[in-house]
Amino acid sequence: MSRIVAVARNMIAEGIRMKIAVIFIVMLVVIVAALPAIMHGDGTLRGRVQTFLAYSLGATAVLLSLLTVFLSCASVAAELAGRQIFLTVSKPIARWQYLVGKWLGIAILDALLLAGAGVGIYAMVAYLKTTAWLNEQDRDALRYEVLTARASVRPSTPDFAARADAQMERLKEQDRLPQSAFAPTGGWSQVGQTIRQRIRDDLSKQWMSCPPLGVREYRFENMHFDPNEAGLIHLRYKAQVSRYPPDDILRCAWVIGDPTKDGARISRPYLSERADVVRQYHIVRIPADAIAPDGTLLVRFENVDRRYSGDFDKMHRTSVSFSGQGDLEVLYEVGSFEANYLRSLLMILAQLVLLAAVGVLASSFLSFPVACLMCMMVYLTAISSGFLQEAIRELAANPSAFEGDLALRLAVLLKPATTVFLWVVPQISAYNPINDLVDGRLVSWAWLGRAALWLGAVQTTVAMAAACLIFRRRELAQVIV
Amino acid sequence: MQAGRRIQLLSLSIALLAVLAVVPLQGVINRSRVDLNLTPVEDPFTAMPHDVALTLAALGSFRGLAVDYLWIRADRLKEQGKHYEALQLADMICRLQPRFPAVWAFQAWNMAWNISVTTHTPEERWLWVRNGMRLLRDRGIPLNPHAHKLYRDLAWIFLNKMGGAMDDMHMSYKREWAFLMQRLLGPPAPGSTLEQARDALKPLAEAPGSAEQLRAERHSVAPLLDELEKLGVDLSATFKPDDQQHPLEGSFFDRYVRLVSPETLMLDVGVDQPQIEVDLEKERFRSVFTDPNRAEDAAAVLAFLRAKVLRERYKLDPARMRDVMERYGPLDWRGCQAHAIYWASRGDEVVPRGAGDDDSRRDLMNTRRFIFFALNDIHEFGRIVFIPNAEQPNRSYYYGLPDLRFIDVLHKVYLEVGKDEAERGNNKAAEEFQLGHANFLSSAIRSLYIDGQIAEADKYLAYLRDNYKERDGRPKRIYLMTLHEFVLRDFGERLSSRNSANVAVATAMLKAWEELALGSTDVHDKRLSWARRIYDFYMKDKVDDMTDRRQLPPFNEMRATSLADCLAFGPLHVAYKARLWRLAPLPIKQQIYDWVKPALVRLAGRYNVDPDRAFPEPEGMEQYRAEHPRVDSEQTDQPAPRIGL
Repeated sequence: MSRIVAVARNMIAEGIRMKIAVIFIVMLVVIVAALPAIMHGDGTLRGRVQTFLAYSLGATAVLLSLLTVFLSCASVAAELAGRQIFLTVSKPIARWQYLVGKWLGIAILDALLLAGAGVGIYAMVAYLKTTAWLNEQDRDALRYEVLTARASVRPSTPDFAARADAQMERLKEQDRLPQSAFAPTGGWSQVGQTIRQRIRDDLSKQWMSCPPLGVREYRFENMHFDPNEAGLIHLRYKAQVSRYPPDDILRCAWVIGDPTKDGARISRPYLSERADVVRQYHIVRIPADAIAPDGTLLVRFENVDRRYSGDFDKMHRTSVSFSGQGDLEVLYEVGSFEANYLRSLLMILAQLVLLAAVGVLASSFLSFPVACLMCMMVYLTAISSGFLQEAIRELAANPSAFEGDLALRLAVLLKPATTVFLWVVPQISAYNPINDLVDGRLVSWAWLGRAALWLGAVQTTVAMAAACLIFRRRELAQVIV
Repeated sequence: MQAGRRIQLLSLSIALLAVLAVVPLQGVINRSRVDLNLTPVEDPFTAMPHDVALTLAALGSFRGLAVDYLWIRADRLKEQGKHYEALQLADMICRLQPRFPAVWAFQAWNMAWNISVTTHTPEERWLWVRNGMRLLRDRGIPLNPHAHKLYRDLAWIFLNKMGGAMDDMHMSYKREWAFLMQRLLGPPAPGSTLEQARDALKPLAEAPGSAEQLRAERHSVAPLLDELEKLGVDLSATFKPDDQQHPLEGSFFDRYVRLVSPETLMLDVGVDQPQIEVDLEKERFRSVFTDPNRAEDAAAVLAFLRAKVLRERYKLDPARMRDVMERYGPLDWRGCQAHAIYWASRGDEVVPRGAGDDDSRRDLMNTRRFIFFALNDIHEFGRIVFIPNAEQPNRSYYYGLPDLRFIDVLHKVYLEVGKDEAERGNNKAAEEFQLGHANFLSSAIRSLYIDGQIAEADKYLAYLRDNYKERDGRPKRIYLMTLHEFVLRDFGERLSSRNSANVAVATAMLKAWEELALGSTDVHDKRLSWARRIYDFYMKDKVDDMTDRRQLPPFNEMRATSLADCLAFGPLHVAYKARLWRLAPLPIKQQIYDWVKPALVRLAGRYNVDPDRAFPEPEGMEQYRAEHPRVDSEQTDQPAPRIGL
């Protein structure tokens, strides 16, 4: 172990000595210090802090990733090219210990730099907090929508599987199912399963829709919120409509809270009359005492225009649906911004640790420039893997739409190879905490744990194992171009 | 040859082949750029700001990739309803595509129209509308000065988004804008003629570009400029694109505006605002601008500072503003419509004259339409009554009244637009314009008649008679009536019942009181005389009706009721109501004082004003009360009853 630590210590010293590392550190300091002056967000204090957090953490992650790639590729490759490696391997140290030491040194350096940048960014956020806000709502939005850690809960849904089964039985009794829906051995065939799933989807969509002039109640459960805690919770929704209102403004109302619940802290529910642009996300800010002591929140959506109370003829009639992913949710505070911020930094560190391993792996058999190129390709693919997968799915779903485009046709042809490549490349984009942190959403320990397990442990171990295996078999005296 | 060398040569050959393979594609790409209008209209090397030029040069060929990434991010965040980064992304996208007007137009539209309506407070909405406006005005247009679309979109933001009533919060935009303009230019003289309004802008149009020039041109201003600098006014401060306001607006105009309103209005009506603090620095500032011996120098400095802020922050050229007024009348620059006209006119200047192509003709037509709509709005509610609220500009008092000075201009524009539509072969639109023109003139005749502008009203009735005839060429019967008959024709139909007559007379009286509150005593007299005429017109065949079933109350009683109504329920600011109370005739004040007192006390309380000073008890009240004892003393604490409306 002491040998690994010795190599790691040497690597840290080497990293600090290298000019390129100094350049990156200076860039990091300049960016963190200059961003608040350059980035004004949307003019609100909340927007300013959100933009600063997004860009400063993004820039930190990118700069440290580039630094990691350069350091990990340069260190081993330079020692090979400069023949210093001969001195090292002639000492009583295994080659795997040498590589692990290099990786550990880079990881520690990353952690130190990330901690430094993290403290700087946090100090800037603390400073920005003290600057002028637009109005009281802006101040509250910063406190309760950004500098917090909020969990999201979706409405509880009835057991649609049981309802779908009942519906299938009814159709069977009425002899309205095709013969192919039945499996020869009893039960449902593939066709039958498809019909059942479709019924289930339809029921779910109906549940998440409200007819014209209708009312729909949604219950949000298991909200672990301290009932004595003051503050705000947020109902976030995006309404789709079947018939567009003339001015694209949906007039509706939310009635929130259940005063009849045992121990309810409200004597009457909160009412929010709305005039919302359709197909856009909107937020209703609700005092947290609307949550019942048992952790449930009752929310009633009224698809009526309360300006014309009772006069239904004057109201615009449209069905309203919240059936899209995340179209209806309640966000409530479960932790502090500081803890969330710390978890986010740790998740970024997990990415850097993996990248360091990939860099060491590349430099174990490639020269510095080629290893850098390889790492950059892996890194860019890894951070955009979500987007690339989405694009491939889009292409596969509708190939005819791209027939006229040569490049896209080529992309369709190369889809299998791209899919395999994306599968091999680490899914860094799935562990990007910045968007959630900026939105004041919880970066959970479970998510961090998964990142640590997959990026920091499994994939890093695989990369390092491969690196050690290759390096052990490598002829170090061979000249590499 | 070594293996390494062979690999190098092979790689070089592949690279060369790849470059050669791209060469034939360049022609196709260039043709596509022209077909898709992707070639810049402007010279790419002219007037490019350093930061934009540096960004473009630094990114080089990667610009396209960066633009793609930013568009994808902007689109994704918009989908997710996250707008905090929208301005930043729009700015970066536009920096990377600075000579592509459609990009600026799209981003500005997105902010002013799409994002703004997703917010639910007036401050946030105004922020987004302003962001959209600023992106076009401060960055897009300077980089694309020949892009008609950008001027048109900017004019549309002023005309429709801010000046119109489509947006739930349009009043707060109007108030915010009026606040900015009034702080800078001050309120225009009420009822000023075109010459007076134009002359007011003359010193600004002729103002020098810098303080040094001002010192050189007018030596006597030097002490005054020095004093201002000692008071913290940096005369050389310039506006930067990211600034929220011009430095001079904070250091000079915020202080200067307190010399003119709203306190002065409150002082005019004999009301001291208790929140006004005695501030030595303010007093020094006041002395600089109220010294009669230096009035001319003070005016020159004021003109210079106003012109500087207009040019630098608002991108308004005072000389062009004068030209626009010369053409379209005495515009009030606190109104959004005046700015819509200004920017539409600027757009008009960049359309190539005589090009004759469809695009140019359409652009010119659009400009005319915008100007026409803006003038129509000014005619209907462009006479602005405004009391700024410096702490919360969107809670300032803003009231729009018809501005009859624009009838003649609008009449001429109607004719121009109708002619254009006819020349384009758009007969249906031309007919609609004619119909609209006739209706507009009919309404204008009534307004002018009520306002006492008989000759003008007669002129337009003659125009209608001569130009809007029956299909067989005979004049229309209604236009053959006398002016008096023509105006009262509508009222004759409306005054069919006691209730409708009551409403018509009370409305006319209310308008008369509003004019008195605004200080227009002559207009008040005309409106009152009109109320009398309607009253007499209705009552002429009811004098013998002794049952009181169809008769209106006595005229003076109705007048007293409408004054009480105006004071207790009218939308006017407390300062105007205090002025109205001061100017109202004593007998009417005595008649209503005990009715309205509770309401006036509450009103004064809301504005932190002493009610006894703003609405003092009329003289001789004791004697009046003795002569007119109240029947129901329990009602003294009730608000003034709504009678007559």
